[in-house]
Amino acid sequence: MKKLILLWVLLGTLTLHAQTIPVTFKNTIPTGYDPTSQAPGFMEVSPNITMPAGHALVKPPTKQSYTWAQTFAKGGTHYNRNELGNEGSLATFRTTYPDKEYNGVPTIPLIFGLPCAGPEQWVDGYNKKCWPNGPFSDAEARAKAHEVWNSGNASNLWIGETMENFPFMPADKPMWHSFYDELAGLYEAKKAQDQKPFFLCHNYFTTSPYYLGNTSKTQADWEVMYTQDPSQWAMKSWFHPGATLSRTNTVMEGIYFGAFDLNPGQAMNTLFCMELWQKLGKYTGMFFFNHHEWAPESFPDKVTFPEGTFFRSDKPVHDPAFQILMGFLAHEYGNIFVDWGTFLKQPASKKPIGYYQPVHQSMDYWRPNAGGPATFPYYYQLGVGLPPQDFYSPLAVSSDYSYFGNLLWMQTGGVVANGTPYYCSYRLDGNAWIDRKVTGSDIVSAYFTKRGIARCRISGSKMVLYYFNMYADNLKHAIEIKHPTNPAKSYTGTVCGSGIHVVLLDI
Amino acid sequence: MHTNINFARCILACFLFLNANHLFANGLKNENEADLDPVLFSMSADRSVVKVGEEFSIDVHCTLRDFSGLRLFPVSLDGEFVLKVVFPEGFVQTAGNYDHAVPVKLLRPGDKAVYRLTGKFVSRPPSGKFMLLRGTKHSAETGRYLYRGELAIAVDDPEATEKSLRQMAANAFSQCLEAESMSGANGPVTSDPNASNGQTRGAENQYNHFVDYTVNVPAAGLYQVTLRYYSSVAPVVNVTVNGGNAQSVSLPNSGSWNIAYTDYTFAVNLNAGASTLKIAGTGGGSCRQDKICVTGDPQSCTVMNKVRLQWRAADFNRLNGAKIQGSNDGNTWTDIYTIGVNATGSWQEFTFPNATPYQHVRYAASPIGYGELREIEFFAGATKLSGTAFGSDPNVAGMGWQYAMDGAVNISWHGQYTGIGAHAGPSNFVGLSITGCAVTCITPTIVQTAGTNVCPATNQQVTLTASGYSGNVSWVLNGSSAGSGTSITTVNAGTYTASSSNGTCTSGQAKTFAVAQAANCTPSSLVPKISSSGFPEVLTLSIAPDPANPGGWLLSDVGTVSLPAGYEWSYFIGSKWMRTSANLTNEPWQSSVPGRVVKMATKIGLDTLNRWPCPQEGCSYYYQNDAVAQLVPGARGGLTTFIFN
Repeated sequence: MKKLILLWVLLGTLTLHAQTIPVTFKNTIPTGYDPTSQAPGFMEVSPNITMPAGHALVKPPTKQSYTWAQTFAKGGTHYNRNELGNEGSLATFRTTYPDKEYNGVPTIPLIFGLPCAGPEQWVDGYNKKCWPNGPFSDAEARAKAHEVWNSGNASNLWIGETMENFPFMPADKPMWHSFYDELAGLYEAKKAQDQKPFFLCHNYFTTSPYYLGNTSKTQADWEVMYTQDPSQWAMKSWFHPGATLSRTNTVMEGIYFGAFDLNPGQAMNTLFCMELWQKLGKYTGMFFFNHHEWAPESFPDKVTFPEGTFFRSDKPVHDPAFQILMGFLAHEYGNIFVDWGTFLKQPASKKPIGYYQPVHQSMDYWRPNAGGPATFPYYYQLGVGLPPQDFYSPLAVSSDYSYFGNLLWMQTGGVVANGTPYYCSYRLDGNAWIDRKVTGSDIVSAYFTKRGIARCRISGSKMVLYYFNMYADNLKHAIEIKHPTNPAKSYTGTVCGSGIHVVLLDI
Repeated sequence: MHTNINFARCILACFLFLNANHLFANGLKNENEADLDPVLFSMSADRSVVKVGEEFSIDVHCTLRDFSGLRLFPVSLDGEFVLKVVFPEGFVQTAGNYDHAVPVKLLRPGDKAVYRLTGKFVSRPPSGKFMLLRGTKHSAETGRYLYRGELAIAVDDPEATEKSLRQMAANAFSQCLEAESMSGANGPVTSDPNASNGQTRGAENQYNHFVDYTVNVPAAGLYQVTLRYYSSVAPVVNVTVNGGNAQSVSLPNSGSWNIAYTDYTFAVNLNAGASTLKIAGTGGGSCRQDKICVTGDPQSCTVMNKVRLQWRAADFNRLNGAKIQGSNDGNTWTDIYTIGVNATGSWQEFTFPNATPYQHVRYAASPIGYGELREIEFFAGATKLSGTAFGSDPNVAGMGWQYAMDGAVNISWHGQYTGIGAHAGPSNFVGLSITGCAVTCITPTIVQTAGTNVCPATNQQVTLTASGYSGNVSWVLNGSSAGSGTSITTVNAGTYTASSSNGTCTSGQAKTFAVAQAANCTPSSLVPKISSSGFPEVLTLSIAPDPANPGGWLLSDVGTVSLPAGYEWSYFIGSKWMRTSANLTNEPWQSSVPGRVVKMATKIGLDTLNRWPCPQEGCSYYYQNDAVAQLVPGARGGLTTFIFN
């Protein structure tokens, strides 16, 4: 009897102290934003804001009239040195904004100054057109590092384009270790003097053995990696200590996704890899293409004019919810977001539209209104040697969304950027709890069970709390998320769709 | 890779050393052979301890090595270079043939050059460390140099007063705390033979373990924290003091989970008394914490006991009742003295008893005052205090608080006295964050400087201004970041707060300020807005309110293109893949989140869209000519993106 009374008292006590806090997830679209203008608008609707230290955002402006300073005022941290526009020279930029330069994915010939003048001849994985004498020797590679450094082109955000096309040199060649060992030493010496962080990344996307869709592996094969030191992983990467890319300190994940039905799995695999790179002690981030890398000339996009309607048939643009989500998660699972494919000069009139032969020849369709011209009247021929001019590119607004994801993170996750992340247990619609994994392998579990992720980051008295489900339907669900370290406290709200649901809380 | 070479040994407590980092090639064992720099550098001094004002010399030796022994001689480093010695604070050069960026050219192996730097310290520096850098002939343009060692000179200060020496002795502080002894921690206690006290905190492969150290320091100031830890991958930790002033510290890898530890030192600002110093792993490798040692020699704050001020030419009675106040947290202010006389229009001096040192001091206007000072100075005895000035807003145009702190009496400060933002009384203030003493930032006060209330639908705005802060201001609306800068103009109603930071400290949150929505403001209801769309005959999306689910929508497709035989419509609605023979009709979209609908004609029963018409090269892998139908020229599908705003 005494035990029953004690149990009743304990239950009463627990009930008394349990706390359920309703939350409203933040709207992901800034007030006043209107995409029907068909011109980029993130600059106009976003507050001035600063990216927390240690995080990087490359966001080129989308109108010629925007200044470098305005881009930085919106949270940009680095600027592509190949897209400086008409505000000034590279020298002016470097003087005005030291160490805010991004190298803009130089190719191998650009990095090493290779003439690539020989005949095409592939040997041992490389092309003698660019590598007539084969890979660099150790001494040559180290000397090249000094050459690059002394040229001033080793910017604090270095992302290469080194794994494709004819200048390709396989990443497992020892020359890469020599080159990066020397270059990293120079970066580290500079950092010792100026304390400014640097990101040194071999390529804008990564190939690795870590693929959750590998049918020869099981869920357990991947989950065990969360309990092991990287030196114990069954499969090693080029970034493991001693491997050819081990002296780079950053591994970027390229968001170049294919068919629609594969996207949820690809996105989860991206997050999985980002967790692994961090376990290896690397910085990581997303190199984000705003379209699918799939189905060219298949999905036309409309641009309206008084004289008629112009369509350009292109690769499919991403779901805005996905763009916002990835802009946010890039900083929750990494440090860097690079927007790729955003266009610089976008006149509000949408005239003229850039046209490049033969690329656009088969992509464009013009449907004149009654009395309108038979052919599209506002083309601007693109090409070498032509006078610079503002021009419009269809789907210009699409990159607003990935910026909104970054903005959302700066406004929420960025406030607790240095906090401690936790996965959280949650349940939907009062159903069974989905418990957080003690090893932190929640992403793997979510991939295999096609479910969502509840996660938070706590710093002091503040907590960012978020939920996303790449596999979601489009129906409303009541969610309850447990505080990760205080089981008596939980948060309730409504979620719907595959986008990000986030709120910043005082706890 | 780096190696450290000491060029001199410690001499008693005062030491002289030269530490040179040389890059060397991977895999070579002989350090000299592997050194990539053909020039050897060293520094030496004619004495290891100097007094302030005492002249001494440092020689920089450069020797071109024998090339023949170098297997890895880089083309970019040769005998032609520039030298740069980075001076410590308080050092001035008085003689010697060394000059900044002196160019040197050594041609033959064994060639030597010696450059002498003669000078003295004019004040006692925080560190007497000289850093030697070498550049190439390009360094002038690139601004990049290679580190080649350093030399530390101990500096004595013969003019230090007995008082300051006593103060230093009193302030010298050291406290070590064992990780395993702290009650606030989430990692297991484990043993290690080399660990301090034989035990540590933290588990391998659990990077997010933390330890809360309770530190107790005698005075506010900047302290050094040395963390002893083990790691097998470089950890990243977050360091906070009482939950604030967060800093992320990237720790070097100790290289071993046990036995071989590493010490790493970083700085934290601490207030006097007990504080919780949290060191929490946030990424990278796991950090097995052994102990921390907190050391410091923070300067004490002086005791302010006098002000000197000059009032403007009128309204002399408004000085009477003004207060002199102090604060040690930038948030709570303590009255030190109340002025009990009228102004005279000339310089007036007020001396008062005060035994408490404060990081920040200020003048706050009387209940009927608006500032109105031409100038004010704060003193500790006969010493005029210096620091970072701050003051209140808003003020009359051209009469900002800065005029009360500019060292001139020609223009006076005057707080706003009419219109929006007018404020009489102690909300008008001006003061100093005292140099060498203040370790906290001043919490801003939010004042409304334009507008009355807001309405997003009509773009009716309010401007809020941060008053009386030091550093940079960050704004928060309803718990979310809302921007940065002294002022914020907004159409959004809600509860605003702000804080300031200057890179080394972060203030507390300002008292919240509520911005109301105008009474006649109709909330703008969210409406769908098409962001992009394609050929209308393929996909025309209708987005209509869902009468059964307020806030939800129903999606329908009224495209007219025909479905080819043997195919079905594949709609991707968000992440949902729906296959149907009919156009999409009243598909639920139960919230106002952004989305996308894609429509394609796919072969009936197609397992994955990862099949695509064969290219010219032929069909293989995921190419399958009949997987998806070409609906019209230029369109294998329709796609519409939308948001609600």
